[in-house]
Amino acid sequence: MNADVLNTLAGLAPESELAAIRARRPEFVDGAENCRAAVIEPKVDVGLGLPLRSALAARMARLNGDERLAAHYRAGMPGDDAELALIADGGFPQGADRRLRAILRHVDFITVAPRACTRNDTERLVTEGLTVPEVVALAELIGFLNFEVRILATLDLLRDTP
Amino acid sequence: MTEMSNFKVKALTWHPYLPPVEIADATPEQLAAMQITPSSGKVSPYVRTLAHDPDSYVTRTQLFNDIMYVKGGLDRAERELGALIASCINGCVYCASVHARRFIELTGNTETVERIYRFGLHETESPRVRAIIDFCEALSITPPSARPEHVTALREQGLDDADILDLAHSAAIFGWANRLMHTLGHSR
Repeated sequence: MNADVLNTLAGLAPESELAAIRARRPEFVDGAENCRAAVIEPKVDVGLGLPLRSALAARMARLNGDERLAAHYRAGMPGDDAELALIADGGFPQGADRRLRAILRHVDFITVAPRACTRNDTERLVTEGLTVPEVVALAELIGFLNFEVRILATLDLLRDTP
Repeated sequence: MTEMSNFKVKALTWHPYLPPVEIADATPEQLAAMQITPSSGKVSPYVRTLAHDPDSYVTRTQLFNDIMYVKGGLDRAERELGALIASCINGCVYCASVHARRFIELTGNTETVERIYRFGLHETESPRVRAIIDFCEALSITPPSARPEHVTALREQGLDDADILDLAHSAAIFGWANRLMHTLGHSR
């Protein structure tokens, strides 16, 4: 079994009842960790690099109000890159080109209001310079982060609700 | 809830906005990825679209199948209800239609889905269904806003913490699936 990052971030003691419940579904624990690897450091990298993926993950965790998860992804970024740090914090770097600005807008938009997305919003990513594989990889990264945030929120709730 | 009148129970067809992988042009990784399909279905345009990013497709589909079909724990139908509620919040008409049908097939209960589609998520329901809808709705919005009262209501209806975690997984994996299906294509 892989390390269970979500248990660690939720601060579940190994002997706790909730840790035992979680361990009864190794498919879910390992599955989430394998998915994290696939969206943050995939074997087939379609054009979005690990540093940017980590910064976008931190940005989405923060948009969901989860600073603890944001810090986890910030730790995977090169520490001395001011542009990535700004992206992780939710900003738009001044030097960002059209492609990067389109990525940041889309990440924020689909995290907060997926139901408002239209064909134009998705096609615009291509006209702003993303390849089709990059658009798909970005959608998977956005989807994963929004999944992970909700599992962590539920672990917090179950841990804290007597 | 708004715009529920767009939602359907009948089978819809999903059409991608961007060109899917053509089998003839696929890399070995993409061909291997396309062997794995949600609920062992066919190689649809959806699968071929997601095969552009083969690693995430394979790992997510495995996790999806485990969350929806693994044995024990929360009843299958109630996982489908979690999927339906998330899909309503995220505006994914396609996922909502598929999982509304699965819920009806498993339970014979058409009334719950009809009520959601006609009146939204906040109409009267059995206390157990009510507790499930309220939790999945709160969990699915951004940022997620599920509170201790939601957990207490689920426990009062007989769900133990393992069941609640199963339910959260079904709603959360649809937060992911909806962000693919609804943003990469449309259904009719």
